Amino acid sequence: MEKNPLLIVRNLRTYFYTEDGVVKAVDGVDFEVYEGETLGIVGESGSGKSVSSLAVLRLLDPKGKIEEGSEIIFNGKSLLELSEDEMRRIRGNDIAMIFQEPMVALNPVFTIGDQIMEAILLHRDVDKKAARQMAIDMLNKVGIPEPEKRIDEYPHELSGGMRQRAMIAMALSCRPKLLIADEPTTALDVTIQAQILELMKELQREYGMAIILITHDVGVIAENADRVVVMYGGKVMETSDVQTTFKKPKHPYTWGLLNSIPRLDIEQERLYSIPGMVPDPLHFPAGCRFSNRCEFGEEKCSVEMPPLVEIEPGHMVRCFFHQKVEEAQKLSKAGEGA
Amino acid sequence: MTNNKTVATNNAQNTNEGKNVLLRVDNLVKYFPIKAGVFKRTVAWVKAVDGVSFEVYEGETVGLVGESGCGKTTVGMALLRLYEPTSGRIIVNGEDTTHYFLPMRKAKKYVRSTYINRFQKDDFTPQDDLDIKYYDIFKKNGENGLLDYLVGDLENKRLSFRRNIQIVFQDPYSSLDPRMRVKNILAEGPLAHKIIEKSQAIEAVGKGLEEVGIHTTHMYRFPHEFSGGQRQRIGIARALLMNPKLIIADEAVAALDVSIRSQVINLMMDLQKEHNLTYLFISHDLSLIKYISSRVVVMYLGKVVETSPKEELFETPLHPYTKALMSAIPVPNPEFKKQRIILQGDVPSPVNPPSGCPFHPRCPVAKPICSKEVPLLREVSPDHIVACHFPGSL
Repeated sequence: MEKNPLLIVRNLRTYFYTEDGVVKAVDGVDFEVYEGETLGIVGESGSGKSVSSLAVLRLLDPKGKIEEGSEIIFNGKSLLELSEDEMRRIRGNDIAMIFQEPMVALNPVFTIGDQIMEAILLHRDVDKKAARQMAIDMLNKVGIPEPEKRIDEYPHELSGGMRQRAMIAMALSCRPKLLIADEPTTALDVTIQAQILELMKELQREYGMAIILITHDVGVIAENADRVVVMYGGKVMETSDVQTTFKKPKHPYTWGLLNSIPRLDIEQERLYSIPGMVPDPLHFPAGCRFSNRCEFGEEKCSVEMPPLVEIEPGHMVRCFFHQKVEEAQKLSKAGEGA
Repeated sequence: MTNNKTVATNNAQNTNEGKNVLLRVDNLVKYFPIKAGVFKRTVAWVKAVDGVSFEVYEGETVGLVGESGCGKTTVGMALLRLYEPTSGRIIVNGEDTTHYFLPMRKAKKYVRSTYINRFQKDDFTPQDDLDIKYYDIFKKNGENGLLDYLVGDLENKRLSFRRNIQIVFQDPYSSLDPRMRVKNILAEGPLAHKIIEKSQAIEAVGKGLEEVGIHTTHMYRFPHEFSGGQRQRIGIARALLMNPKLIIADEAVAALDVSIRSQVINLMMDLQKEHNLTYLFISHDLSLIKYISSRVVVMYLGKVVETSPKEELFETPLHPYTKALMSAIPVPNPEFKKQRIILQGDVPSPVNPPSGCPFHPRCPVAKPICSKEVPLLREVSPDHIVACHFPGSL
């Protein structure tokens, strides 16, 4: 893989100013996406994974603000310095997005053809007839049968899987360099999920685009991502390539998360469970955001926020005591062997 | 469908030995009408559940797995008679309970058509244990005796049914009354069933909360003051306080965050050991089913396609659908290599299910016979039942 960062996010902070106080949904997030790769962002509800990606497209609702000092650089351009007009030329053209609920994301009163053509007509210098042909080709590409007929159907006439295919067709109609997929298969059945993920991989190979895949399902990440960002409480807790994340996790949260899911590939006596609750973004604990649920934590953790440090090339961890996770990992491995 | 029934009942007899069957579902059918026009005429039927049979033994966990629209939730609702089944029998602890929630006239009609009319024929041969038991009563006490046995004191029968079978719902936000305090939510059932006295309510509720890991003092709070995981714990406590034998858990952890999910799963497994509970665990998540169940029932489009003890199912799945479903589950291990079977197309509509085997339009190994003949449930190896013309061919 070429090591050309397509997107660089530095110290991204997005705060929501609500009546109850300031919600620090994303609080100093750094990551980059290289050309042609799939970056998986994994986290639970409230971890800030969706907000980070919406911030990249500057699609936050009016209460949300991208704070001073945040940097989003796409293809050498700083997105936060662009005017709204310039930004609109990037959205749907260079960076496209697909959402979790295709029924909500699609407009129910327009045919899917109209909605795909809208993007093409906006970004490409073609007439309506050519745009329609391009839309039909796209629908064909995403595996919708009888695209000439389906193009004139409304979203409600399609099944969930077909709707998500139509969304992908729309997102890819202008051949974006970066596709942001926010829980693209969460609303779908597993057999349909497998179809959609396979389709996304195929199209990625063909178009050479980069994908940011946001999900709470670590299984989906393991099978589809090249590199992984683990988020918790608005912060990046760990970043590494996908092998390392799953084989040698160094952050207590990543470790706990991986051990707490039922798995098909191994036998499990009892699931590990991370104690406590997912924190309320209005009241994060002081110090490390995970400190109140962490098994390895010490006093220091609830006072000071640990920095994100690179412990091996390409492996960043935000934890003072990441050696402890390594030991625990060895112990549980030994236990399995015995 | 009739053939289906005999196969299932025969099988029930084979595997009954030594284990107490707590719940037996026999050829359960639930159709929902689609109404249209000014006069609301029924124009079609949604065949949500179309001949489902399985057993749940005492103390075990049965996982009912399938994708959305396969009818797994409808099975749960029909078991509890939150939907009245179209046909089929629901047998709890060796007694037919199908007619319990029908009006008296219909209940009597059911008993007559299901048992008495058959018993009165000269060439009657018992089909299962229940037939033998009821035929005995019929011979001794006559028609009225059996009627009295089955529909007498129906009110009490209903109460005891409700006590013995409880449900935990998927959505912890909509399954607790937002205007009731936790104390009242939890005490309502036991008080109505006279399991506890009013004076004992606080103590009982406190004990129930403690068991699910919620602080006793929180009983005066309202549901909105709790997180999703805590609410699900309250839902479990509510079921538990009725002292049930069987708990139906319908996607009980699907709405929870990953880190909370394992807490609730572990809690449910601990409670099972402590109280000797039996679970019917309804879920779409095969990994979870693998972890929690001892036996698995796989459903597709309103029908059971495969039933097997867990270990055997995951080692040698025989139905092509089960196999495809397993291969579609993402495994959190990038080095894990598995056979990838990508199914074509969508699940067909239950209004117009395909002819023959419901899975044949998506099946990679379908042959001409599959579109013509409905495959019956067959016992391929002990306790491993599959509905496929060519089991194990994928």
